Amino acid sequence: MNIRILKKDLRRKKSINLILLLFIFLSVTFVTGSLNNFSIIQNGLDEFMEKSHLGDFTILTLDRGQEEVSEQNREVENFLKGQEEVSNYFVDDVRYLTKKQTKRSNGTNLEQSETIIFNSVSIKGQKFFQENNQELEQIEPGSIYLAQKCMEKNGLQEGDKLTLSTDNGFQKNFTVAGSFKDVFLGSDMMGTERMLVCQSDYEKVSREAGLPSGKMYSVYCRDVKKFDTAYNNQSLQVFFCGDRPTVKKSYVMETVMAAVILSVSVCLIIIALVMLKFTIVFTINEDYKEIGIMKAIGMKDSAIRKLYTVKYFVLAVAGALLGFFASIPFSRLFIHQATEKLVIENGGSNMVFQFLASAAIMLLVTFFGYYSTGKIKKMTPLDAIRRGNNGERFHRKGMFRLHKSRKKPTTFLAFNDVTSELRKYLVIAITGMLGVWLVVMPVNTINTLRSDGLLEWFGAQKCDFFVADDGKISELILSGDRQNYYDYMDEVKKLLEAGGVPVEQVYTEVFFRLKVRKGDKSFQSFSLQGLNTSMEDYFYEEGTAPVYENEIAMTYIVAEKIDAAVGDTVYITNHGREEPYVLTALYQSMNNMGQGIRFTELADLDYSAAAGGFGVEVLLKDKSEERLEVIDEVKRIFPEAKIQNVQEFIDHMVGGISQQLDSLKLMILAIVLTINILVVVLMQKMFLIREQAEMGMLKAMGFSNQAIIAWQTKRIMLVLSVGIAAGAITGNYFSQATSGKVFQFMGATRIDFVVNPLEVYGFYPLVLFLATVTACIITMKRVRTVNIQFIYGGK
Amino acid sequence: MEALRVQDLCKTYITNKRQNNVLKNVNFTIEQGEMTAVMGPSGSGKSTLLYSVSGMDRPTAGQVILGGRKITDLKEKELAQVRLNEMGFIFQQMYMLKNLTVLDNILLPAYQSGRKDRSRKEIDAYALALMHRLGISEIAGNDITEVSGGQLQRACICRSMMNHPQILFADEPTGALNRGASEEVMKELMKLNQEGTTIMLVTHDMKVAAKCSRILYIVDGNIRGEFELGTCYSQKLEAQEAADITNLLRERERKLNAWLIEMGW
Repeated sequence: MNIRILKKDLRRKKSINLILLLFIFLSVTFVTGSLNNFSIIQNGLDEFMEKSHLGDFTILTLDRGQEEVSEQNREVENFLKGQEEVSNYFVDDVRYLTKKQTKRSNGTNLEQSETIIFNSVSIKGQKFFQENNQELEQIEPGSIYLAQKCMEKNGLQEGDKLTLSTDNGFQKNFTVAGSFKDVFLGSDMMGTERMLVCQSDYEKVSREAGLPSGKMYSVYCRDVKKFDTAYNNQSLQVFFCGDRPTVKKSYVMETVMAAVILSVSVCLIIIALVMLKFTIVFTINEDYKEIGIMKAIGMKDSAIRKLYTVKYFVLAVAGALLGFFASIPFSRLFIHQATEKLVIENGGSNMVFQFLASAAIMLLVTFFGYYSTGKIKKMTPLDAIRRGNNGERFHRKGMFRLHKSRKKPTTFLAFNDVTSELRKYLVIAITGMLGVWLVVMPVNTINTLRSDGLLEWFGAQKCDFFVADDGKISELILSGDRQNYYDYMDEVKKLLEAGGVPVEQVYTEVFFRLKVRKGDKSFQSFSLQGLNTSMEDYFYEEGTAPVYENEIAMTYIVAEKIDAAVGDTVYITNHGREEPYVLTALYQSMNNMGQGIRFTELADLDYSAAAGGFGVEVLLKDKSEERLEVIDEVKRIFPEAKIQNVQEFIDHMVGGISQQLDSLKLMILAIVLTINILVVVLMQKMFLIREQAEMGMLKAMGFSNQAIIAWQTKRIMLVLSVGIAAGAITGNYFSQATSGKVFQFMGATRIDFVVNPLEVYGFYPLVLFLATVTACIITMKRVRTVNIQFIYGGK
Repeated sequence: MEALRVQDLCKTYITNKRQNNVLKNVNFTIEQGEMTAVMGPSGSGKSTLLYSVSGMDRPTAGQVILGGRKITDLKEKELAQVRLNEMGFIFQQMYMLKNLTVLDNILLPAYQSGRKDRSRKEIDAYALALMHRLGISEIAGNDITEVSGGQLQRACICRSMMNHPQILFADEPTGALNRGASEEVMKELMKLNQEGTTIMLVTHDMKVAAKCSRILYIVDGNIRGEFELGTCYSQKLEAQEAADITNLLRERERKLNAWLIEMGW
């Protein structure tokens, strides 16, 4: 009997069942695929760190003196030797390159990170892997391995020639032997990348090229937490220090895609379940009589419910199976980028996990299907046989009166239907609303990422462009003299003015890594001092801008680490001694994962401990000047420097996430359109079946096909526009709740999204509305086949 | 004067590659003001004939001329206009839109016709007048599930009359009603006919058919015969006593019955 009912139902409502199957299939594919990606990336990262023997802590130093063992290295080693929590550590030599120093055979520079670590493949502290996940143990002399992101950005192939040349006249040619996977510096968010050569080539370059040197300490701890506390209590001068969680955090962008797909799939499941409920209620209403007869002859409610659940079980099993198989390539497609960076076994799919996720969704759909048949329990045989019309009537259905309305009859009917039976149309409104949410989220995120306002969250003041001459920045850092920065800024200003560029102001930001303490809590924080800047021009969330030399502002993240609040006195180690500073303001920053302490220009910081800088920021006098032309002129004046406008700078800082989101936006729009169209087509098909008697009657009365289509379309238009409008109004909150998390990862704890009203309230809602309504009209062509005989049940 | 002419009307359905000729070269004419009943055994093609003649369904071949216009040649949109403005239709199942009140259901075709020669106020007044005439004005604001079958069918008659149709088609108008309600409905139809509305109805009920002026008997898609009973209301007018009316109707039923038996009923 089950099979017979199933066959009958599948035959009778082919397209409705097909759409339901499609929804279950898509939900399973998306949920399984995205969860799998999350799990693979999270577990894969842990495994990759283990395989790479990455230290619990990795510390990089930059030697400033010429001695064999520099002062800061000695301090680090002494600290490590004295720590009980340290079980073991390795020290490896590193050299620092700037991107100007590596050129293609045709003389052009490579597009690379600001700082490049030049290493031997035979270092003790970390292992590297080839593209095929095999360990990279040896490199032929004369060959060089590059980071995957460098190969990709520059379109380099195996066999390409590169030349390493330095200011002292040293030159050496290398042949690109391939790319390698580097757990420590492999993510896009890490602003540093690595080049690997064999030990003999490394030694030759170290000896002859005159490159800045440093050490990489890979520290393995017995108790990471204790070591972290001890480390933060020191004021070691290091170039970079990161623990495993920091490294893991730097790969957060790899999970953004999975996170977005997961949020799409959650919406899909919600829609699928609401649709399922609607379809079941619809089917039960259609089969009232049959159910009544079954009840009248004594069949148990549970037995009747089981009959109806069988169909949804079959659909759920079919959808889950199809979804499971589709999720394997789907998951691999989206994890492709991550597998290029990480050592992930099985090409990025965990069959058992995917199967279990598919089975879970299958069970959810089946149980929900069974739950939705609850209406059967409430029906008496009389109810059922009379198709729900038992003569009792407790409330009026229609809320409005045609004779009191001035609307056209079709408009009135549409409006009256929707207001009389809101629940019937809820799924369309919900889908429209969720659709707008999903589209608005990446749109708001991209607009925010591309806004000039974001600049202040990277510790930079408002400016028109950046002049970043890596060689010069390194030179300034190594000089350790603050006056040199002022001299360089004067030089830049003069050169620009001589070239006809109207400069208002030239300023820079210098970075430090300093220990800050309050009470017994201390932290090694990324810190900045602006030169030629005004403290008033920075943005603060709380408090007032620091003014005096002993006043500072800090980010919420640093303040939380040491339990500091505005008005507190904190102690910062500078020039080898602890100095008291008053915390006057709190701010948020996306630089260095939200870390930051900002000093006034009056503060006398130890420039021999400077750790980097943005380059020079230039504010133009005359805003009416064509910026593109000015930037072209600046490029001519500083041919060696990287000239970036604000947008390019932000893109560079956020690791190209806005481009990723840009491509994702189109994909989401396509998915949202498909979902909305499918939902409306499914609902409309059900309305056509359910209302064919009414349509036949209206036709008999003289309503044309167009008038009937207009009635039905206006209904959908009304519901959809309410859903879409609700989505547009609340979409920004959804963006805050979801995409805001990405900004939080980067350090911005409170973000105000940049909303483009034309896009959020106009373009995307309109596209969604028009596409869905068009699909609805096409579906309603079937109205033409409805005739008077449908009044008596149709033929 | 001819209200409706049907010439060589054929209707064929193809089911599972099998051809089923439901109507075979049907020819007849209905004069203006006539009240014609179509009778015949189940499956003889009565309803199909009614749908094809009223433009609810397209015939396979043949012509239907309504008020001098060939409606079989009209496009769907034009046909809808004819259905809206020139004919009324009453169904066996009293179909109305469930989210509207009785009055709004009645008003719907008039509002939809969008004719400029009358205002909405006039339409509303006409609907209420019709309802009053048919004795259902007290249910104007009711929901359609709050009224009896007889009241609902009378409301359907009101609805079908809203655009002053030339002809009224009725498919078993009393088929779903009890005896009392049937009589009420037939009384109203006879009144309308008396006022000049041409009526063509399909029925199984001898009592209903006996009130019509002419009977067409259809068997296997062919008009087997026709029977003139004469207008019922003119005879009724002549009769002064209720008993006379009852006797008159009994007499008409008896004649009809005899003829139907002759036809093989």
